[in-house]
Amino acid sequence: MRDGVSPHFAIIYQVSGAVIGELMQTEQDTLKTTPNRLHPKQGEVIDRSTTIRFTFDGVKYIAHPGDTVASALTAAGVKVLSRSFKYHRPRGLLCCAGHCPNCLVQIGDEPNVRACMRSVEAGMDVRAQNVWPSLNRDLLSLTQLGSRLMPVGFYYKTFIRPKKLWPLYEHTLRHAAGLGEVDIDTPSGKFDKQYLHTDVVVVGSGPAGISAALGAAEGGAQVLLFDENSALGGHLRFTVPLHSSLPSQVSKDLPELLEALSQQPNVTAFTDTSVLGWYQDNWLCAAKGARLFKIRTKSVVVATGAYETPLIFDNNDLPGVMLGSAAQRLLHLFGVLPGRQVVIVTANEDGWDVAADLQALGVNVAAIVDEREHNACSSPYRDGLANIGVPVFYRHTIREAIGSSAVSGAKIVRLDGRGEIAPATTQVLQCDLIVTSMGWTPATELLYMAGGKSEYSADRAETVPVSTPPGIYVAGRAAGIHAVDSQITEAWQAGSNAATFAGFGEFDELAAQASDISEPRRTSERVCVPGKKKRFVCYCEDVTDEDVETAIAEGYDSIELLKRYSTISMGPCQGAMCSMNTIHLCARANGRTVQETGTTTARPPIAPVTLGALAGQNVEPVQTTPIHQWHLDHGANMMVAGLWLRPNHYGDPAAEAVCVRKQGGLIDVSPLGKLQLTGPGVPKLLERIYTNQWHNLRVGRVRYGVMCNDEGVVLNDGVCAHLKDETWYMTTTSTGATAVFEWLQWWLQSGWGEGVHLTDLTDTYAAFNLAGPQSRTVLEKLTARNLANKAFPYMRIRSAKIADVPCQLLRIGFTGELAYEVHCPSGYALHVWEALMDVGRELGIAPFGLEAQRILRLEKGHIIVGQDTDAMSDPLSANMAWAVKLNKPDFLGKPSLMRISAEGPKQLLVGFKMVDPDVVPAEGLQVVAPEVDGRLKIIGWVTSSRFSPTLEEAIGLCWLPADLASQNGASFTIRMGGDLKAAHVHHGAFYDPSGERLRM
Amino acid sequence: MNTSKTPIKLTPLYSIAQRLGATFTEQRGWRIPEVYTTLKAEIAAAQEGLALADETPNGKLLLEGDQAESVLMDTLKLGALKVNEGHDGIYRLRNDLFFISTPPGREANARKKLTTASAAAEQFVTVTDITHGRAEIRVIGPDSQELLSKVCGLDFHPSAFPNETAKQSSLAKTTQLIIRRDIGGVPAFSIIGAQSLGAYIWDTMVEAGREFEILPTGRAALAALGV
Ligand code: FES
Ligand code: FES
Repeated sequence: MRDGVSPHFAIIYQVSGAVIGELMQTEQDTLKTTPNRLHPKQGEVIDRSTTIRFTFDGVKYIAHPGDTVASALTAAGVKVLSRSFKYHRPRGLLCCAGHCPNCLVQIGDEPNVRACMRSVEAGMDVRAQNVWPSLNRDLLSLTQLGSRLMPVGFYYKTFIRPKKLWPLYEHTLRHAAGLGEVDIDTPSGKFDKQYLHTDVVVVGSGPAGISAALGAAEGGAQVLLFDENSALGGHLRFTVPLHSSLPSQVSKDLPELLEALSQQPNVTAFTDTSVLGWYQDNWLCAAKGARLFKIRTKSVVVATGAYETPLIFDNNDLPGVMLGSAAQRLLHLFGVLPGRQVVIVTANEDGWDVAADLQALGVNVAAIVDEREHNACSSPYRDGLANIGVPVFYRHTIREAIGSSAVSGAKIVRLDGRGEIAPATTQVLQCDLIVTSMGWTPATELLYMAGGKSEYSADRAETVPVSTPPGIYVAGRAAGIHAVDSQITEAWQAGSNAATFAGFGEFDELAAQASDISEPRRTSERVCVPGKKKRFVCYCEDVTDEDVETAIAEGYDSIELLKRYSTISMGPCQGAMCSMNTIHLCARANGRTVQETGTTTARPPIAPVTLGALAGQNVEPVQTTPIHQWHLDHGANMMVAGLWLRPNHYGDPAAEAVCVRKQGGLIDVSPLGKLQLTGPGVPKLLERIYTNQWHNLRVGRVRYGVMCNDEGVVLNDGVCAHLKDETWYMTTTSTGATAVFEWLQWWLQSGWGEGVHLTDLTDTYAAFNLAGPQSRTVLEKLTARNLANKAFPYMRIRSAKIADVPCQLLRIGFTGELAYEVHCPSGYALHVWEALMDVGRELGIAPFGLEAQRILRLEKGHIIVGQDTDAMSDPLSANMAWAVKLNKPDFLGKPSLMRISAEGPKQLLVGFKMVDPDVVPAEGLQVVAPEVDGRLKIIGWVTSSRFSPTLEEAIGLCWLPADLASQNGASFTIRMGGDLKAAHVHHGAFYDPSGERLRM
Repeated sequence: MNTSKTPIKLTPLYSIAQRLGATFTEQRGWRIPEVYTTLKAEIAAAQEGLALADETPNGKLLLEGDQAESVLMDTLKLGALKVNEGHDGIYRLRNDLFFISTPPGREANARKKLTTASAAAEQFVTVTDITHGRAEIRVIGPDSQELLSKVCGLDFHPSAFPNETAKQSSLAKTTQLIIRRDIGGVPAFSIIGAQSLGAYIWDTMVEAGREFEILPTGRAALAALGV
């Protein structure tokens, strides 16, 4: 054993390939039979007329439509479905209701599927997950031997030293822990979402939920009823007494309730739908498979029922230890025997119901172990079962489940007068199934999220709601009501109240939401039976009662701290199986009451949900210009710019750039932001939002402007044209259009809106920039407007018909050539573009894309806001000082710019050329300089760089310390990979520095 | 001057219609799909299921200003409208902002009339023609509410969104103006938003509408339905 490597991991990695092969070769290629399938019975949900086949870990099984993966496997006698998270202990069905981690499997490429909730489909490939090499021989279970290395909070304690081994620890732990695997190559499925609006939402469709829905609907409200199960009815679907000779109180209720529901048009029911959370103002979120519902309702009835609470005892996680309600689900819904010989451990009449059910279906009830006195039991089956010879042990409980990978027996013990284990009273009973029915934990997560409160009733050993926020109602077991008759009557009233709250009818003050509940106790305060082996509190996270004690002893004694430290209740079931038991253990260890101990905060999602369902449809908005199809038809290589899809080039960007310089080119600049500003207040607004002067811009003229925020940081730039007396036309950068529109709206609504109307015309006009020496000639063929330099000089705007379409022409450009920007109504875009191309082609004009434009603008030394500037860049430093007029009255950013101006910028954006003209440094590379000790210090960075086809050398823009940047020709060094490349500062435009060509 | 072709206006959904094999017709200078599949199927989809139509050619004006309401009342003899309410193609979006929908080709006249009226009344009111700037897609049919509930958080039940109501909302992650304009008792909603997003909205609707067997519907079917 090497330093710090745990022995069990060493063992794992020493297993040879041959041994692994042998271990894997355990399954046969035969179809498994279903020895545990019962004869058909009423109420079952399977269709026995046909069978379907599926595989589990490569072995073939049969199922009936309606079977879940878990029911089909149980019918075939499979007990182990998964391995536990940390210790890799075998786990089998516990709750059969989607409320524990014990049946998580991988189905196809979908991990973490609850086998007890997923219906079998023909050909399904079901696999155990987090096992190595196989489910039945999981070598990772050897970690149990070294579990001292993984005590509670082990990630703070072990695997820390020596530090250098952490990569090994991490790799090993990741291999050993975790759930299923996501195959990143799996194509994302189809997910979507739907918004629902209603008056009343009822969550849970047991007798209480259905009754509440009926109560609300009869009041006239529209009701949405949700249930996570595949059919409505809640526990009435599987708590149907089978003994015809025994009284049946409830069997008649479900059909009646369902019939009433079917007659009620105001109720819409959703099955297989988990409500995941409650949010402000009665906004609920629910998931049904691949669809996410976002639900807005006026009121909510929480009829979510209760979780049956597991008992903590030695080996309580052994496959074959099952909750009573789970056994009943298997029997009644799927006609499956969960075992052949059962020991029932109980503290209430529910356990006796299960015993009666199992006995009636031919299971040998080896014993009923009831912790109560004989006379405390009021089950209608008590005497009947005793009379037919079922052994009953009153004042007894279970101490240990016996077995290695499944239950083979149970050790039971007697309780003394104080309820403690009486010494030397252990008995061993043979059995293959241990059913526990010890009590209930109300499923009140939604109630808590909504701000409701519960209190612990020591008499009933359950929490009972004591306050609910307006519009939130609780019904059924969630409200502590177990008797079906009471559930139905109380819930009806809750539904009716919810409808009234939603505006239907008058409140009946006398009809209390939940009347005083005086029910017999159903829940035991005994949550843990001490012993010598592992006793699991939290199945999801593999936390034992000893871990809880250790954590509390280490000081994590508040329930919230205990949760975070131990990770209890943070697993897939989100505490459904462990929260209440933990509170009891914590209370006991601290010598406090359960009420004083409190609860942890309930947060969404209550039930597991796929990220796909949360993400919804796999679509993102895409903006296309009106001539998008033309670009595609002409071989454009498209690129994403913001939400826009734009031509990057049409094959050869350098050639496109050269063509613009020599003859001309046409670029689609439709994404440019275009804003119309009207009104007498516009000049004042422009003075405030731009850094330069505007009041003196005459009609027909265009000016470049820079916008800054209050900190003097460059936000956007563009030109603004004075169209008519009180009409201005502003352009912004393409990706900044929406932001500038919102920025201006904000200021207009914050006191600067006097005499200004703002309209976004970005989409109303398509825009094309025709650049190059031939551009005037091309345009002249398409318009009657006089385009001569004198009549239409640089930085002017004119209305003109181009190819018979009314357009605005702006004599501006980004390329440094004579250029016209044609803005035409979008519907005419293709007509105008094609007209320009048709005429231009003869004169050597070609379309050019963004890449050529980037080359051309760089040759002119023009910056791109957002590429050459960042969230710290001010215009004085970014080579735009010429566009800042600090002597004008206040404007956005002025105080900051005054300060920067006074102190002098520290960094400057400046042009550079490479000493080696063929070396183009990538954008983002660092500019470095040696320090005294010889180490290299980062002193700047490259923001733009290209090989200029016109100058035939590499050029760029970079940020440099101000003193260096201000020396034209100064040398500096750029770090490129491991090399240092020399460059020198270049002031002014690289191409046509005097700007003659654009004024031609 | 050298122009050979007569200018024709294309909607942002033109290429999609071409790909779908639509036949085209002209409506006030706009080239729009006449029939995508069969007239009968398209009418049936609109009346009994779900149909999607490109109505971008409809004229669209924005009227902005504190006095916009009084200009409208004087010019069109329009009664008072609350925000989100509409009447006869005029919808109040904000206290000081109205959206005006006209049949194709009528927007220029409407604009002129309103501009003249504002000038005459010496009111600071801005009338802007945004016809070219907005795609207009109409979702028609009994399933249209259900379809919209998949892409937009608004409540489309008639009690919450009556006919002739206009609301601005996020729809499929974009900002859209949604106007309920039933067609002879059949629920129908116009979705009006940036033309650059038109193809995206159309595709998103088609995808979301697959479960309802949504069918693109051309001008001929709309005309048969009285639009
Ligand atoms: S047994 Fe399936 S979730 Fe509990
Ligand atoms: S048992 Fe699931 S989180 Fe504890």
